[in-house]
Amino acid sequence: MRYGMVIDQQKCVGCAGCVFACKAENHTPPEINWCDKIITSSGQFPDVRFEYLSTMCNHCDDAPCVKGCPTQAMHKGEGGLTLHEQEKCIGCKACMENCPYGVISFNWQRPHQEWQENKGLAAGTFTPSVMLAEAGGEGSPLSNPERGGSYPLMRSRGTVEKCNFCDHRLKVGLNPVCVDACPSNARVVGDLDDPNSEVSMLIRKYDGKPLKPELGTGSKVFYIRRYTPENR
Amino acid sequence: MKTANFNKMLLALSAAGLLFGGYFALMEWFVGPMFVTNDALFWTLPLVAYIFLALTSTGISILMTAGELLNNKAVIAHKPVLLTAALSLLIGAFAALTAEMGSPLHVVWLLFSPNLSSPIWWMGTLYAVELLLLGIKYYALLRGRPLGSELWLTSAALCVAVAAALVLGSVFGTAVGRTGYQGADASVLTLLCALASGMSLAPLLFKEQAREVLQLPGRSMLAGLALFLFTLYLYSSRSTVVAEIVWVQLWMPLLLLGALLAYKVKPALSALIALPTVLLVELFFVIQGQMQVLGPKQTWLGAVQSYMPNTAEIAILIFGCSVAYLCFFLFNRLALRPGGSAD
Ligand code: SF4
Ligand code: SF4
Repeated sequence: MRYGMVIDQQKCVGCAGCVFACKAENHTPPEINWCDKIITSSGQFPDVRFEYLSTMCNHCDDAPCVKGCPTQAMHKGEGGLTLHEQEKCIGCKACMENCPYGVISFNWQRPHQEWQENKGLAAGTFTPSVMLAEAGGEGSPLSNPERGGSYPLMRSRGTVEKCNFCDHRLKVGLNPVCVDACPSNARVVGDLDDPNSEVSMLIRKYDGKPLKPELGTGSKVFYIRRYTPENR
Repeated sequence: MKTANFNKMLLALSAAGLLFGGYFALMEWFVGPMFVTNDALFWTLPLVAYIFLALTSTGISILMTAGELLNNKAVIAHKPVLLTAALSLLIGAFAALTAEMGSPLHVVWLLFSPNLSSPIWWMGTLYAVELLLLGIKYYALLRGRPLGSELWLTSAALCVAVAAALVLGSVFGTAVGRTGYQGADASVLTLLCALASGMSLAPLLFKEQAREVLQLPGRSMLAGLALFLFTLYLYSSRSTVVAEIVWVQLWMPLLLLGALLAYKVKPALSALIALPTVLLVELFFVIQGQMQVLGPKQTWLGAVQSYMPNTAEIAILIFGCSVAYLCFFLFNRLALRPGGSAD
């Protein structure tokens, strides 16, 4: 079993639904996105080109971040996923230096510290810390206990974090949340080792390509039907 | 200025540096981030402070251990001061690293749960071993009697020092996604930086009449680094790709040549030129590989970044240097105390 994902660029409408769903599911701090986007515009009017590329950890088979991590905090897990163990992370940032895709984020601040604030917007209004106490939740009222089962909901300051393909959902037979949240079904997840899985068939049919294939990282997020001249 | 007065001034400056830098280190450990870092440019001057101090220590270690093994009388006569310098510089390096990594404990955790394919693990471990070996040698010095296994210890310290400097380069050289770093030349650069900075500092640790022995190796190392940088400059100056933009500037080899010319007659001036130049070489190298922002971070930070250290980062450099000098002073005092072996 080797999990992979296909993103159909001609179905993706650039709504960032995946980004928001991921934030809610994985309780990422406001300044950190596990699921993110690369936006590029190029050319000169009237011949301009705009591309919205949804991106996240590619769960590379030969992951440079895993090789570079001195403590095995970044490691390969079941189904070929690249996972991160918070407790082992010493914040050396070697994984960030080694990841060619720029998808690892560092907790420069204590995550969700805004919820510890005891100042309301105006006198007599709720303060964030009172709201947290009333609503409950770990670190913020937005924390998702299901996520907390396999990854700490409150990450430590001075450690990294990144997408883990919603390993907690895959374990119970669900799709990563970005896949289910996509309104145009642009994302498909499945087993790359199974030639009859939907992902394998889509990659074959549309000659799917990962980002930076020349680096040989064995990245497992494939893009199909990009708006390149040959796909027009 | 008389040597005694100069030493007192250095001591006072280091104490002030310890307080000033220590404040920022404590803030970084316990309060929050003080540096101008972000998710794309995450290794800045504090890491370079570590690299600079560790490599300078390596250079001194190589000189001392090679001299010992070759039975060089001048080097052996200066072994106590070389040993304390190498040990102190390495302690200063680790002090700067604890601030860079946000906690002293993080540096210790690195040794557990090892990943043998990680250059950072090897670098941390080799420098920790080097610290231990130098510490044992210092203990033998304090005892006043060489250990039975001194030859092995010296050989091991030499091998570990060379390996550590090479592995430090490979931390950058093996980053597949950053063309600014890629390649074995990163290891050549760090080894040459170690030798050049170590040999620039060495004359200041030697008695004037004994400096002759340093002339050939010292000038060769400065020339070697200058030549290497000049070659890199020529090789990469045609590049127009951001990630490959030349980090080597022409003034770097030229300043090193200046230091080389002053090496014999004005060793202090030579060190004053060479050491900051090597520090800047290391800084430019470390920053350049991170200038181009990768992936989605481009959306937030722009495609290319620039860098200027802030007060907190400069303070960590001062902190590392101050810790090193204070240790040097203390260790020398201990070694030279009446009845100590090194007097
Ligand atoms: S995309 Fe980056 S973080 Fe994800 S596995 Fe590959 S190298 Fe590691
Ligand atoms: S920051 Fe953490 S996960 Fe990344 S390489 Fe260092 S220890 Fe490993």
